[in-house]
Amino acid sequence: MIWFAMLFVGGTVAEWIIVKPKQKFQDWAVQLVLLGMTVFFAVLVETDVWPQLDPLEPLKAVFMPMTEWIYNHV
Amino acid sequence: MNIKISRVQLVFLLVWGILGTGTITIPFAIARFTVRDGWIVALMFMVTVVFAAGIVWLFNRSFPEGSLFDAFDKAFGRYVGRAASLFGVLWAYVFMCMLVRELNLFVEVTILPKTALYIINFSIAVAFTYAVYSGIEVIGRLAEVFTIVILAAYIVLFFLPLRVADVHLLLPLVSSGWKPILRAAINPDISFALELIAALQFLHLVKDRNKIAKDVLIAGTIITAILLMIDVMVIIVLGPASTYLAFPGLEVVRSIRYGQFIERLDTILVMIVLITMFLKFSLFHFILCDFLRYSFNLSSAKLIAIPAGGAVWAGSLLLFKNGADLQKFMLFVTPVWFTVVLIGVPGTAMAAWMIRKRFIS
Repeated sequence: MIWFAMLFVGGTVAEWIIVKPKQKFQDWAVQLVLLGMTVFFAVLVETDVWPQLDPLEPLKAVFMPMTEWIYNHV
Repeated sequence: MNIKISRVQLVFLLVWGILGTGTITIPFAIARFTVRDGWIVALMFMVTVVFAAGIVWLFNRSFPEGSLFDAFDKAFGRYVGRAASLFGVLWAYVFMCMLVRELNLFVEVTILPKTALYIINFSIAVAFTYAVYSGIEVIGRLAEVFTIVILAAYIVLFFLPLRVADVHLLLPLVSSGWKPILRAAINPDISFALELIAALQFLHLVKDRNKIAKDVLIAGTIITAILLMIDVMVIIVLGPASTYLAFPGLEVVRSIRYGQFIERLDTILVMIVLITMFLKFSLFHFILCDFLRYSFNLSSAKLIAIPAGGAVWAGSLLLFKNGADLQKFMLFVTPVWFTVVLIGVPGTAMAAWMIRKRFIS
């Protein structure tokens, strides 16, 4: 999976080299953060750290009780 | 911005923006709670459509010029507006991951059981990333071209099983009361229908913005009609068995058998569903990239199409461990979460703008 993540990195670098878009500091920063997320997430899945993590826990903690309340009260 | 999409393109984008995954997941979400009265849930979809069209109309009336993001700037000021739009970024990112995970579950079950999930995800991520990189007008044209084929295929595939249908399965009406019907309506009629509010993203991109609320109504009516057709077929062909199936719509098409040659048409449905999913993913990936562009003051949304596609590709596997986890999230988190983001953010913007106009200006 990490190799596939590197394809996204390669695609973005190829765009920088071939298209040569004019970029501000923020453009570089956001692109690098997103590519970092791609590789980092791929590493987490590849190394099986994946099943022990639940990054959606905060969303579930906030919204699941409210939705369940609606299901129970309609 | 000079790029514009026509009203027809917007309507088709909205239709497939809901039905892209809705065709396969809405009958499942309904069948979890009710079987015989599922068609009533499909009809009730129209209630939220009217509500969503109302929000779009009000928003366009409050901010008659500029884009959704110009409206955020006006209502909240530049910095708070950008901070508020981070809710949109988070929503669009998790939503995209959810959609891609839905696709790989569907593809794994139906056509590629032995292929690694990340390869399935990668194939679709490349496709929608390229579509967004090409621009919204390309996505609009694709929606326009594919719609004729998709609609024709839906009509043929969902009417052919009539031979094995039993209309009596629709009766008696409301036999278990309204409770299961209302419970079944929570996911499709809130989470899915509110996605129509995504039309706000196209305020400055559509040729005639004053008719955008009408376009949402038209799209909602088409979606309701298609959902009604699919759900009635699920009820009269599969009956109570639909409760135990992950993809009831697909099973309906699998039941087609005429003579020795016309059978296994579910492959055609899989292809059609994948096209509609591609349109949906392209639409919401565009929205994700555009929200990122605004939130971080980037030069263009196109620049981040590829890296954001990568983040969605990897995130879809990291955030949702398996089918059960995804279904739980879809049924028990998205209804309230979508309500808060899709009604809360534009609603707060309108309220803030009213207050600013009245007391500050």
